[in-house]
Amino acid sequence: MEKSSYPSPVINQPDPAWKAWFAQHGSRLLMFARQQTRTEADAEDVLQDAMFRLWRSGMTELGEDGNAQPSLPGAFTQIRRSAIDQARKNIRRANREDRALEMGEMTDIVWFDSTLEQDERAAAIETALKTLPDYYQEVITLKIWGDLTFEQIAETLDIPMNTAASRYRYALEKLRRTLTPAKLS
Amino acid sequence: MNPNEDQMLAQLERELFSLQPLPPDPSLMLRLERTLHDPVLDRAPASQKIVPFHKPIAPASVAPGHNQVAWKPWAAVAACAAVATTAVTWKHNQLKELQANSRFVAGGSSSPKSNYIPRNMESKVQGVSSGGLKLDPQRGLMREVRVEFNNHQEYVDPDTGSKLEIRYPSVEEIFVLEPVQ
Repeated sequence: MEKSSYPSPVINQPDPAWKAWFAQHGSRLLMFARQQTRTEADAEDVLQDAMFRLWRSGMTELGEDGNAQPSLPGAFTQIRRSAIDQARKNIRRANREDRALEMGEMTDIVWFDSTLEQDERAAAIETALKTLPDYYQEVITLKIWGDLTFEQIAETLDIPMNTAASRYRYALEKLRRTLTPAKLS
Repeated sequence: MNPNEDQMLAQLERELFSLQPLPPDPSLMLRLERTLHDPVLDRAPASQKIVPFHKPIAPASVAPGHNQVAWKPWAAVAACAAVATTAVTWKHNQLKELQANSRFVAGGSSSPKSNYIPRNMESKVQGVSSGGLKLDPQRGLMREVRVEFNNHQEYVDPDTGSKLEIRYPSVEEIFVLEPVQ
C-alpha cells in the first residue's frame, strides 16, 4: 500500500471524491464505530472525529483508478483511537447516559440492515456477536464487514498478525457454539 | 482439525458475509461535509443527545415548601455569555434567540412561585462550542451547540434576607440545537 500525502486544500475545499469514497465505505466504517461504542450517537461522533483525524493525518492509499484516496485501514485505526479517547471522556457523560437510558431515550445499537426474512436471524447473530469479548468482536467486524486482511487488522489493532488470525478463528468457533447448528442451516 | 467443524465455520462465515451493515443516516454525511468545510468549528463532535438538565438538589437548610428553586440555566448562560472564552463568542440576544429557537429542554424545578430570587447569576460559563450537525425534519439543518458552565448559584430569601448557596457537584454541560444559516 503506497502512502502519499493528501493535499491540505482538500480540508477546506472537499473533493467530491471523498463523498464517493465515504458512500462506498461509510457503512463498514460506521459498523466498526458501532462495535467500538455504546450508542448510535457515540458511533456517529466517533466516525466524524475519526474522519477529521484521517484527513488531517494525510493517510492515503492508491485506489483502483490510480488516484490517491483516504486509507481504509487508516480510517479504522482512527475510529479505534477516537473511540478510546471518547471512552475516556465518557466518565463524565456516564451519568447523563444512564439518565437517558432510564427515560427510554437510548436504544440498543442496531448493526445490520436486514430484510424482514433476515430479521430474526440477523438479530440472533447480532446478539451472539455482542456477547463475544471485545477483542473478538473487533477482529470479526474488521475481517467480515471491514474487508481488511489479517495484516491490515494487525496493523489497525496493533497486534501480531497471527494473533489477529487466531482471534478470528476462535471468535467464529464461539459464535458457532452460540448459534446452534440447527440455526445455522 | 475436524472437517465438519471447518464446514460449519465456513457456513457461518458465509452467513456473516451476507449481512449488510446498517448504512449511515444521511445527516452524518452532512456533518462530515460540514466538518471539512469548517474544520475549526466542527472538529469537536458533540453528542446527539438532548437531555434534561440536572435537577437542582436543594440544600437541607431550605424551609419546607421552598425547596424548589426556579432554575433558569438560560438566564445564567445569558448573563455570563460575555465571559465565554472559546472561539465562539455569544452575545446576550443571540443566546435569547437561541433559547427561543432551540428545542433544548431545561430540566430542574419550575416552581412558578418560588420565594427565592436568584441573586447571583454568575454561574460561570466555561465555554461554548459548536458541535456536529443534525438534520431536523421540521427545521432543516441544525448545529448542535454545547454550553458548559459551572453549577454554582446563590439565592437570597426575600423574607429573611438570608443567603442560600446552592452548589452543584460538577461542571455541567447542556446541548441545544440552533439553525444553520
